[in-house]
Amino acid sequence: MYKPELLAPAGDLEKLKWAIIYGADAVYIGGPSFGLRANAQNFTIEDIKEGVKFAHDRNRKVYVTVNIALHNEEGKKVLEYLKELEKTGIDAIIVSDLAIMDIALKNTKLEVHISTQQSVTNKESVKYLKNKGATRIVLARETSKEDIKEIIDNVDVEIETFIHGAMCASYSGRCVLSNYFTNRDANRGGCSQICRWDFNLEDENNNKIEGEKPFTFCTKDLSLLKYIPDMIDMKITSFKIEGRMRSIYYIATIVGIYRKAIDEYMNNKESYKYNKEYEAILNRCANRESTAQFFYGIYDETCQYYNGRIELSNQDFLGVVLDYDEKKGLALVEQRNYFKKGDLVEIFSPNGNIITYEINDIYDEDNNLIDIVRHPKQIVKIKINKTLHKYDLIRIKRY
Amino acid sequence: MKKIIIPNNLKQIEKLKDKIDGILLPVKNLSIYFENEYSIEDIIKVSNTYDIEVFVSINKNIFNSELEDVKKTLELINKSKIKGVFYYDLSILSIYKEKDYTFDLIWNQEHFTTNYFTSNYYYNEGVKGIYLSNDITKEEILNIKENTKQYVIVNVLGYTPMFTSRRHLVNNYLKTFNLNKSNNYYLEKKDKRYKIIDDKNGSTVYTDFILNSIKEIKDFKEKNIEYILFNSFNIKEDVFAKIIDLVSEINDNYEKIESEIDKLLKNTNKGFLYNKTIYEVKKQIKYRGE
Repeated sequence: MYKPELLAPAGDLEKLKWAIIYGADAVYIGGPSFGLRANAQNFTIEDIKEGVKFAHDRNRKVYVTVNIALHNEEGKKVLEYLKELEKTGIDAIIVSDLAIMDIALKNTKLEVHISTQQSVTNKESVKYLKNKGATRIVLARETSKEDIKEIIDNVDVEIETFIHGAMCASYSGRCVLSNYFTNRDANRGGCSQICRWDFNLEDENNNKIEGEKPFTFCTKDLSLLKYIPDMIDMKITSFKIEGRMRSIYYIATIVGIYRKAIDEYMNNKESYKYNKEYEAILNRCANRESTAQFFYGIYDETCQYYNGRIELSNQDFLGVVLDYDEKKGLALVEQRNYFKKGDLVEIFSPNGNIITYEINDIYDEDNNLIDIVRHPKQIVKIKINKTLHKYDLIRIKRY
Repeated sequence: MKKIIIPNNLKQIEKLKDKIDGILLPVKNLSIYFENEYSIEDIIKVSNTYDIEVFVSINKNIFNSELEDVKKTLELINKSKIKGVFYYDLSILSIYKEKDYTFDLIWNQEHFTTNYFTSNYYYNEGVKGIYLSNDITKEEILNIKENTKQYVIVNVLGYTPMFTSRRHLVNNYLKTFNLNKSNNYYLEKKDKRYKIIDDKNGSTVYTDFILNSIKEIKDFKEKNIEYILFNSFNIKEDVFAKIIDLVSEINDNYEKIESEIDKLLKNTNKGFLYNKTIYEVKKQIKYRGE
């Protein structure tokens, strides 16, 4: 029976666990080499093994990005790396360079997914890749609902599309601004996000064409929460969330909301209603505005973001529940943002439950009563008479 | 070693035909990065008129709605004297294999044509040529040539596209802030100007400099690289013609010719030929196999 996969990013082992606990069916991660986030923490081979065990114990999957554009020097090392990955028990690799696909399929039992870096936009390309042995194609973010549907209707292969997160301003793989501006290779994991820089726009006579804000390539983010029913009805295999560099709060929140929306629609299509509160929670977690972008064929001025590198930030995320003492009714909490006695907060759980609570008694590690929790990662105890659990998160209530 | 040019226009071919071995022409509605584009019928006429190798470019990202046009175009090409197709989208390769066409395919995914492993993968798929990326070093170019079974085409002169988007970035900006249109647009940053074109296919941004690697032709020739390519994009017609004149006079005087072209163009550069890109700014975790 068809059930869409909710696929979450995980920048490290901790985030992998949070993504899975909050409802991701699968996670994608970067290994120690050949991924497009060369400057992220990434996973060691040992981390991958541990992550795979954690995921497989819960019947979830792990995919590893091996999606750089090869240069000669990397080509010589890739087989050895793929064999190391194979031993970890991962469920698939995600590649853009077809030589890597070829090497993997001929020399390992690894399943191969085609990365969005290959910018696959049509059914002929999908057919080609399927015939060559890829089991899943991550479509280009430029494809519309109609494009995706036509591909699914014509080629029997798994199709993955993005549902949430930041967008490349360019076709993926067709931007090397980073190479030319900073010498950092965009297609080998060094992208320095020149698309978020400000530029002066000029005419041929060097006259500035100036708006109220400077020119930038930068776009709003993607959010397809509203279109989850459409995507499910189209039978898209996997719904992908962007953001391997994002925080545990972001991952838990976004995964949790999409998990709820998907399950609610799958459980009862007739009675499903779009929940605006979910949208509000996603928006609070974002640092840019979002739109449906190419999914509905729209890539006009309403999709641009002219605030350059300025990103909205909030201090909603207050803390992580580390433990709960049933006898004393005390939650052990690690602080992430300033909070104080009297704050109205929401405590949300991997099972989707949300508790609204006004913070009352707060104790420091020496059991002294305090009013304010101001230090990053400060460990405190909060009196609460409702049972909390490890992996619960606390955010300020804003509506 | 053969010389291919992307001419400023079709008329220019007549003037330059004796100094070149081939041309690369963009197919209308299916190509990007060119100042002009031509119907496949007109290109076929050119291929019947001149005794030079004619290649065409079909290098845009292809959507389902464009597949019929692609199929018709490839069918016409297969019946013509056109030597080959520079392609980006995998649909071209898919159709080519399915129809068992006989013209040459040239792998032209401009930022991925960076190694001989993938080059040989495509060779085994029936793709005869590779148009190398401008993002790699001279050493990498020579190393690819040593190890690939494909014939190699190297861009030795011209602007390089750095960014390609489906979005109409200039028009979106003008609309957002209610600004007047102009004929040409440039992005300026730190006193450097980058041409940006926003047309029916979206937006493309080019380097601020013109790649001039005439001096390196000597090395390319010694390694038996099959083709070098000269791109007229954004270069005035008379200047480009003069460049091709100069190149036709090359006789072991590469440095002199390069210097004369530098004087004609002024904003030239070697790109990445001697400048390797980096991608791990601070390598945090080492793969134990390394």
